[in-house]
Amino acid sequence: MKPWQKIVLYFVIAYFVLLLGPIAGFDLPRIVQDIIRSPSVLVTQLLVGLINGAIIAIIALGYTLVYGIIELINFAHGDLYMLGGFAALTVMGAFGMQDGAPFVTAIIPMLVALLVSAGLCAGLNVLTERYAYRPLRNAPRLAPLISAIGVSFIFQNLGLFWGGLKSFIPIMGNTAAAPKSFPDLLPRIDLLEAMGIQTKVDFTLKDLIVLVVAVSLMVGLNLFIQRTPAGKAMRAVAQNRDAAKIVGIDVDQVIVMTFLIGGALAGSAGLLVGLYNNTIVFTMGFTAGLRAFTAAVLGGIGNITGAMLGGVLIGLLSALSDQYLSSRWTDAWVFGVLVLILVFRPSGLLGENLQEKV
Amino acid sequence: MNLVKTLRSSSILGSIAALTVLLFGGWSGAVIGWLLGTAAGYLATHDRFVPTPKTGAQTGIQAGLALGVWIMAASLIEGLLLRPLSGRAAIPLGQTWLYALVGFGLAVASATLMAAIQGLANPRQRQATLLTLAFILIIFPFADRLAQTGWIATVIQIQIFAMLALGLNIPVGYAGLLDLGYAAFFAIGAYTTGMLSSPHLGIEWNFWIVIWIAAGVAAIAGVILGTPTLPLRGDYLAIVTLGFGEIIPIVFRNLTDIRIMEPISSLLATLFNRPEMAICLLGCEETFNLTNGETGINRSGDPGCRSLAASALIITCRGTTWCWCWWCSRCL
Repeated sequence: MKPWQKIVLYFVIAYFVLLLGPIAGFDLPRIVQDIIRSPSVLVTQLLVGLINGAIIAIIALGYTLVYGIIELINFAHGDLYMLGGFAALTVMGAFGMQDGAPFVTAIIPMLVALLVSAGLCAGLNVLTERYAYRPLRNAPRLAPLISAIGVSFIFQNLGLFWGGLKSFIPIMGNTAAAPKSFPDLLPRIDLLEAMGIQTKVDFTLKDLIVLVVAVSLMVGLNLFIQRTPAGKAMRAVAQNRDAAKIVGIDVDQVIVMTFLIGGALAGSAGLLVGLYNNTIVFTMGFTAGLRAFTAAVLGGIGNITGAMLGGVLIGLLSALSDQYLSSRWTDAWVFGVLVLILVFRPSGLLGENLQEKV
Repeated sequence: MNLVKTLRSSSILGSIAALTVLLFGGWSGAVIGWLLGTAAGYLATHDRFVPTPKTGAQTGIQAGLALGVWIMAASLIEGLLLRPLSGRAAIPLGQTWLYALVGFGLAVASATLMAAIQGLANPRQRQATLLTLAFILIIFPFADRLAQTGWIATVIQIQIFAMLALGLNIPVGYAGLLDLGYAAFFAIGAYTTGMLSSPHLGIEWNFWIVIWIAAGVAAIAGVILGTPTLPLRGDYLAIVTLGFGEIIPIVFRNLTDIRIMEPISSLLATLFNRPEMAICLLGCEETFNLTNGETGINRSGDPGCRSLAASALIITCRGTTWCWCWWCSRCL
């Protein structure tokens, strides 16, 4: 193609994007005007996107770990995260936590909730691996995938059932399917104001806590993978399962450990999203799972740093789309990005070029 | 040994038939006896050598008797026990016996016929089997109507899902391409049908024309999705199709208030701060509602008698006192 033809082509594409984009909220003049009028909204949305992105990144790590080891798209992972949220909410109910409870009294319930939801999700994930994926390890690729979709449905219905247990857990609200409100426990003290900086942007202690927990989980995972013998074994199995077996690595044990870690991360993400967004619903696992999966693919599936980067990017994209495009179209934009990335760069942003897989 | 196999397959069918009869009662025994009798006749003979129609018929009678006993027993239990116990209006004893015997008889007859056909020489056997199945498909709506079982809606659902499964089998089964967004093409076809054959957009074309357009539009959508994703393999293809399958419902749900402005003119209008410069292309006075959101497009065209009559491809049934198609009674 000659250079001028390329320029004409790009111009035509840009014209059509501008022509049809406003249908899905991509109205460039309005967006520019909005940003110029109130830049602080942009910063606030970036902050929200960063924190939601960190939570998505934690879920994405679970996808990418499992995919790296056994090349299975674990569709049940998103719903596992949802169950983590319900477990955390149940612990909050058991401690009688309400909106606006003093932060000091909420510390112990939150730690217990972290342990319970991480432990429950890790256990469930290991059970799933044992009974739904391991028997199919040598089956055609499609079989474990379908099995994962089935487990996802089971988890979703488990969440629906759990949400209906209001006689045991009063905090569960009225109907089983309705969104549950998660007690708002983290203090909303504006840190910037406390430091004496006057801005329109709120950066609260709540944001900081969620961000710190999320980042420390990611850093901890990275250290575990890079520095410990168990992490080394995981990397070895991811590279070549047969060779790892030859040098004496117990592959089954490594896979169980991977699912354990992935489940614990999903459970912690469930608690974090409850604390940050203050609402959980039994269908949230599906959307969050797809977003997290998009994040994992965006960063290069199987790549741990890539999953973190992808999570943050997806979080930013959805926050900006909610604010400036249209919240109704956010999912379409996210999946549009997924499709475009896969078509033009299947190995993701940080993934190495995997010829045989593409 | 063969007898045991015959009895086993017929009893599996018989238990299904008995359950149906217990649930529906009445003439359902006759309909299910006819349908499953054919199936029993085929199952009893399909995996063995049948030299002549006569030997086939003998096997078929065995299968039909085994099935018929189930149906007869179920009919009698339903009529004599379940009905009085559940407090519904009792039916006369003679009527109950009639239901039971007709069901029994149809099961035996259709099983014998189907099994006898399997004994024909090869090209004739194949033709006759297909002919019998075609006959069942054509007669079933009438039989369903006569027997007042009301299964036609369910059967249509079954056929739609069977068509979907057949379609999905092409990429996944034959080509080995895992397509997780297959339902999106279903949605595209459905919305095309809805838009072209409902009062929503004021276009009310005939169903029998729209169905081909819908198939074409869905096929074009498949080509559009398929061209860029063709180099991808395995899981990556699965992910792209999954993403596509998520985008399509969002698009259809949200195409409710469309206003399209010509981009260059609207950019200039923004720059010079003169809104009247922007040229509007679609949805100017009020926004254009293409898909009607969550409510969907209601009252899309149906393939019933009006369509048939208007398409003039098939004998018109309006204005005649006797209508040959069961659904035509709605518009007589």
